[in-house]
Amino acid sequence: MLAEHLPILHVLIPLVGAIVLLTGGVLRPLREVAWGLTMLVVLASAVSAFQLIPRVLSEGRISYALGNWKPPYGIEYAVDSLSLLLILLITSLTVIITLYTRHSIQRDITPNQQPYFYSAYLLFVGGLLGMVTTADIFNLYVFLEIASLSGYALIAIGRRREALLASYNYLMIGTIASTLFLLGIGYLYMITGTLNMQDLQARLEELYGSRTLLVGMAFITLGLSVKMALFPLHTWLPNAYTYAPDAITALMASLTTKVGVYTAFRVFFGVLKPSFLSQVVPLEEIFMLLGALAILGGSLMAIFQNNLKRMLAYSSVAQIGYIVLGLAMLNVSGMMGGLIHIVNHAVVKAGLFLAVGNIIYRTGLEEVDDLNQIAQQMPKTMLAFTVCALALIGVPLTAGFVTKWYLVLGSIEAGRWFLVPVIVVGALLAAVYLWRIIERAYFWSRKGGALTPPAPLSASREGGELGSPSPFTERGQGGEVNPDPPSPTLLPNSEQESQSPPAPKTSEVPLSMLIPTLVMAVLSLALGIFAVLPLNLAERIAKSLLGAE
Amino acid sequence: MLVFILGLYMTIVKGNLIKKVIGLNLAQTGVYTFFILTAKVNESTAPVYIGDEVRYANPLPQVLILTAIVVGISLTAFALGLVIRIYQAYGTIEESELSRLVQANREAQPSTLTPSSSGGEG
Amino acid sequence: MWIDLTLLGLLLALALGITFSRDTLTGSLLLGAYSLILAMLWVDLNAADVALTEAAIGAGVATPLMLLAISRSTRAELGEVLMTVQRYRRFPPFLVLGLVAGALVYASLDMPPLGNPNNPANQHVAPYYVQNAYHETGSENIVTAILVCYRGFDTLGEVLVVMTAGVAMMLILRRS
Repeated sequence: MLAEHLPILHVLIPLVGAIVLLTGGVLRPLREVAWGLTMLVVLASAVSAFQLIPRVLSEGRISYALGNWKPPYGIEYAVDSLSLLLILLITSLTVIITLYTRHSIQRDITPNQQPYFYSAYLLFVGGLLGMVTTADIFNLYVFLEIASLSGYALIAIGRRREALLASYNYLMIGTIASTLFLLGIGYLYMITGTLNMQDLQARLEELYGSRTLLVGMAFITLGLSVKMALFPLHTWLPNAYTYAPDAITALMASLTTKVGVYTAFRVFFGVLKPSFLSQVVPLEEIFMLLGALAILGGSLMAIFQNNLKRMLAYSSVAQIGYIVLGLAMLNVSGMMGGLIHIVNHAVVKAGLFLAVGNIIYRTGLEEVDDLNQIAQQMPKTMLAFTVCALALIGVPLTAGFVTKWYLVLGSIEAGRWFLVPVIVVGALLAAVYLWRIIERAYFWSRKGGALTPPAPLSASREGGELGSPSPFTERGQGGEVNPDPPSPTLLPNSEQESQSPPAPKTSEVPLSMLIPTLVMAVLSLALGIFAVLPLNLAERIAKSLLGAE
Repeated sequence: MLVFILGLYMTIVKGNLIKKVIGLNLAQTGVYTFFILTAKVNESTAPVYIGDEVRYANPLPQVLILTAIVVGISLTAFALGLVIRIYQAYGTIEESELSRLVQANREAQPSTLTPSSSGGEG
Repeated sequence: MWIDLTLLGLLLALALGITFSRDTLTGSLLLGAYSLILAMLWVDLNAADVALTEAAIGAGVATPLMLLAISRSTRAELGEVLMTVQRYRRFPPFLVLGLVAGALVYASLDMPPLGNPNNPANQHVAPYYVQNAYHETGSENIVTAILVCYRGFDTLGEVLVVMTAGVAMMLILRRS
């Protein structure tokens, strides 16, 4: 009985969970179990998502009519191999990151806020899942807003007051974008009379010359480009990622922009047909150019950042460039590269952000310059960071290599040789900005670190609080001088802290944070070595997207 | 008719944060009106069923806009909430002053984190 | 016809008034008035349900919210006195606005004629609702029928957005 509702379950479970948690905000006993409940919910959602695999592989596209109203009239949900890829990615990464939030989020919110936080968290996940599953373009807008609004809220709770501004700016830009998207939907509706994507695709084909369609698509593209932070429209991203809570940064960096990319290409291949691109506007050329610009611009910006999270945020801008570049090539290899990079980058970047989150959690250090010898203090975290960094650069045997290999293949196939150096240079630039960290963490002596002006670090408060006699303790206590509001929130945390070993050197983060980080590192290796599985799926998707022609 | 959306977009240029929210609202109403116009059918009546032979306005865009209005107000509400918090944290809601504050903060202590956002209120 | 035009003129005046109003309080009050006039216009366009919603939410909810926000922050506004640094930054916005405006006009040139019952928007799905909504759902109001039946999931999503806003407010305003 449940099986027939499978295509919608993974969306509904988080949403219902969010409602339960909201009521939990009022009931005291539920506050204690907010995290556990969230974990259960995301696990359940993941389980239901994984049950979709065999059905999609055997039946192809599964359609689900909500409330049993026939699709063009009612809302349709549909899972095909492309959305399946995203659904699996979202649900499984959420499980891992939820584990991570348990301790890491306690620095950002009070225990009282926990049910609300997890409620917003689940709404965010549910919104994203809805976006990738729906086959109705207006429903897409509604879920886009659910995900965006909860995303703004999750950013706004960041520790520093800049988080508020980051959230506000994101909200402004994001809302303008979604308003444009809505207007675009209006245009499409006006000339077709339908909102169902398949229906739109069929009805639009004869209207390819229409100006209304052209402008409508332009608005939709513009709106979605903001959401996926495509290069010139990425301005909201660095601040948002820098000031959001660490776990949220990891979640958003790996998922939000990917869903944006997914939506854009769902629109291009599911509402239009590839022939639109060749007949009407060579949009893929523009996207390819923007992708290439994003790779270079994002990577260059990343090199000049000293804040860890900001650096990784700019790196995300660059990586989005790779994805867009690959998908815009419109040939199987390139699209495979882009599709796999959606998965690979999500995993790798989540791993990097989690590792950085670990460093910040334990030491409060957010600047690259302060990281000398951090590897001695947190060997496991840095190991994970290094592995993920290598994967991001694209060293053979890691996830990034597979992607870049296919991207290079794709650009040669497309006859665009100038893209090959872009891809390679992008990797080299990534190596530059990531190597800075690794070098400091492993090789620079602490003496060298003392040469850099010791910055007063109010954020390193917990350095002193947790009593870990790390080299940074002294500075941490220095930061303690000014009374820090979030400090009280740390108290319950240090009580739960079962393993803050008084060992002289190593002081790792709680297991609930360490394990997800390591899992990501292992995954980014696994995706490189056992690339066959995702490759098969990606090939399938690429062929089906192009095959529509 | 579409002139609206134009007049409305101007507001986005404003420096005051609340003004920006107002501008956003205006822009949204422009889009809503566009939808309502697509629903217009000449010589029709409101889509309330009174028999088969009557000509009705197109109900679907109206439904969409009903939804969109509610979505819009949620965004407005949250934006205003943020404005209040920003005022509590910074003491101003002018963009120029805010960017100056942020800038000054950054220059004074290059790698310093400002004391957390919850400073200011109880 | 003249009703439409009067309302349109009022709306335009109000929109301009909002855009160039000197302080936030005036702006938000004018926005409330604007919403009400807009609602009237929509009634005239046979969109009674939406008009009710706009009057209730646009004028009835948004305005108090704005007033609340103003009372908890500040009414004073710097106005258009932008710093020299920002002057060059004002060029791109106008460029973008110009582009958007151009696109809007460009698109409107080959749009289906306004109000024609044979427009695609009024042809494909809509007649189905009109013909079957009453018989299938038992609701005389077709808008309601679509809202809660055919597109019920949108409405669920809409409620969830409201809920998200509530949760978000709890998160950011109730931190102590």
